[in-house]
Order: sequence, then structure tokens, then C-alpha cells
Amino acid sequence: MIFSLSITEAPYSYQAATTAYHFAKAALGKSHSIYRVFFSNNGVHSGSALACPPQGEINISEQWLELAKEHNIDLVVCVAAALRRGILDTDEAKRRGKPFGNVAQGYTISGLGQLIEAGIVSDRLVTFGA
Amino acid sequence: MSADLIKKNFLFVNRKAPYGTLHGRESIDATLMAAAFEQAVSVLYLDDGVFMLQKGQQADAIQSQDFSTALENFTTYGIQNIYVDQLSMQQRGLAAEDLLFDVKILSAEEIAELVDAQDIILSY
Amino acid sequence: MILHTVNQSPLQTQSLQSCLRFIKPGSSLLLIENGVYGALTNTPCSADIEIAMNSISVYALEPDLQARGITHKLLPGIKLADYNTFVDLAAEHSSVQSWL
Repeated sequence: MIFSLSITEAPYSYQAATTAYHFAKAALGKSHSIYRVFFSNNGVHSGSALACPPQGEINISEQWLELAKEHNIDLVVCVAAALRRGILDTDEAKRRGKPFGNVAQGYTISGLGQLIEAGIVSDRLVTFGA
Repeated sequence: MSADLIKKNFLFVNRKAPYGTLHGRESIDATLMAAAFEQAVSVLYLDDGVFMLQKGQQADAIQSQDFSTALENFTTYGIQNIYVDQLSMQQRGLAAEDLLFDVKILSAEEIAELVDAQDIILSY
Repeated sequence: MILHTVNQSPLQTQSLQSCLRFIKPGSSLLLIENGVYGALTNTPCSADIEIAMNSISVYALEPDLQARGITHKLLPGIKLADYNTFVDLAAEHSSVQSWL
């Protein structure tokens, strides 16, 4: 079965991103595939390259990246939600006169169409939020 | 099969009041995108989500984007399957004439049937 | 049939209460995150869950119960689930509705 996930809350502040990660790992362990993880609303913060959780705490952004690399998962951050919350790639930062881009390499910034497309091509789309 | 050829039943469930959080606003954007992708779109308002449809919103009073202006795009995009939970409206003192546009007011049993018919349920 | 997930405590928000209004017989309810508090005995919502279990299956995510130290305080009839069960339930049902 093909799963896609929608994550609408920020890591650390809410459990949603971690629950989603454990769900994804379990699905992959059962030989399902994960087509896309779409981060929107406060969920876009998972795509930040700048998160520095304290030692001993998991780094959710990096965990998603490792999983994505190993299993060819598309990690997409919603552009409208990201811009509002200050998550930009380098090109967008230059365009808008911001000092730097901060989205982690491996996350793509794109539009809500990617969420809808994920729903269309996947067998199940599961939302994690608060 | 490519996404172009598939039409699924998408339901957008709105349970949060407007302005206190941005969930309702971003739900509208996702709903419009599903319509742009020519999917079969239904929208459901229940619990505090029914307040999204309240007439007379003046968002500039709090320097916010107006949710009700965004909702007007539903007509432009041909979104007609707009459903509201009857009990949620009653509990919040809302009548049909308080709402921005015509909606179908449903009982809990009717909503359960509506949900059961969906392929994708996005919750806000 | 739909898999419903509830991730908020019923003592804090009405997400579980709302879910139970709309859930069809034969569906499944999975309590996750703070939603696992809905599986406790002797709370104001315990009776509603007991009644619901006559027509639906109610699961609680065990890692979330363990994290919160409440594994021993559950209503009889609550089924324990792990993340594998969560995936299986999502696959077996036609869609997933997340009550946030």
C-alpha cells in the first residue's frame, strides 16, 4: 500500500511529528511505501536546517531526512505556510532580500498541489496535527 | 496511473473557530486546490468550525486576513457540497440566516454517511 | 469503514465526544498521544466509551499509554495497539479521519 502523510504541527511543541515518524517507520517495516510527507501550517518547522535540540533529544528534521534518503520519500514543505513562518530556501531568500535561506537540504518547498496530488496517487493519506 | 486521470472524493473537515488559529484559513486554500485539481470536493463544518461561516466578519479589526473573503472563492471554484452539523449550529446559537451562504445542514447520521463515502479526509 | 484517531484528552477538549457522535458501527477508534486518556476508567467519558465499545473497536496506542504511566488504569475491552497495529488499521479501513 502507498501511504502519504500530512503533518500540520511543529515538532517538539506537539507530538504529531514524532507520531507520524513512528507511523512511517512501521509502515516501511511492513513493506508499504511512503510517497510523500507534506508539512503545512506549523508543521513547516520540521524543514528548518537550524533546529538545535538539546543533547539527548531526537532531531526530528534529521530523522525525516535519513528516512527519506533510505526509502525515497518526498519531503515537501508548503510554500505559503513556510513563507509566513520564515522557512525559506536560498533562492527565495535572495528574491525577498532576506539574509539567508534556512530550509534543510532534502526538503522541497512547494505548493498545496503537492498535498492534493499525494492524496490522489496514494492509497491512504493520514493527517497528524493538534 | 497519473494523477490527471483520477478523481477522488475529498472531504475537508473544519472544527476550529476562525482567527484564533490559522487552520481554517489554510483549510480553505487546500479545499480550493483540490477543486483546481478537479477532484470531488465536499466541505464539512462542525464544532467551532461552524463559526467560519458567520456573516459580518471584520478581520481588519485585528489586522488579519478575512476568512470570509477567502470563502467566497468557493463559488468561483464550483464548490457546492458544503455541509454543516446541525447540533454544532444549535449549540452555538447559529441559524441558517447567520451564515455567509447556503449550506446543507445535516444530522449526525447524515454526516456519518457522508464521511463513509470519502476517499481522503483532511482534518483542520 | 473509517479508522478514526483522536489525539486530544477528552478531559481537555471535545474531540473524542465529537468523534463518538459520528462514528458508525463497525468502525474503529484509535486513541493516540493525549487521546489515550480517553481509555481511562472512572472519568466523565468512561461510560461513553463503554457504550461505544458495543458497536465499535476501541484501541489505545501502547507507547503513548506507557509514556503517561497509565497502562494499568484502562477500561476493560480497550485493545492495545502498537505502531504496527496503527498501520494495519489504516490499511484495513477505507480511510483515516484524524480528530485533532
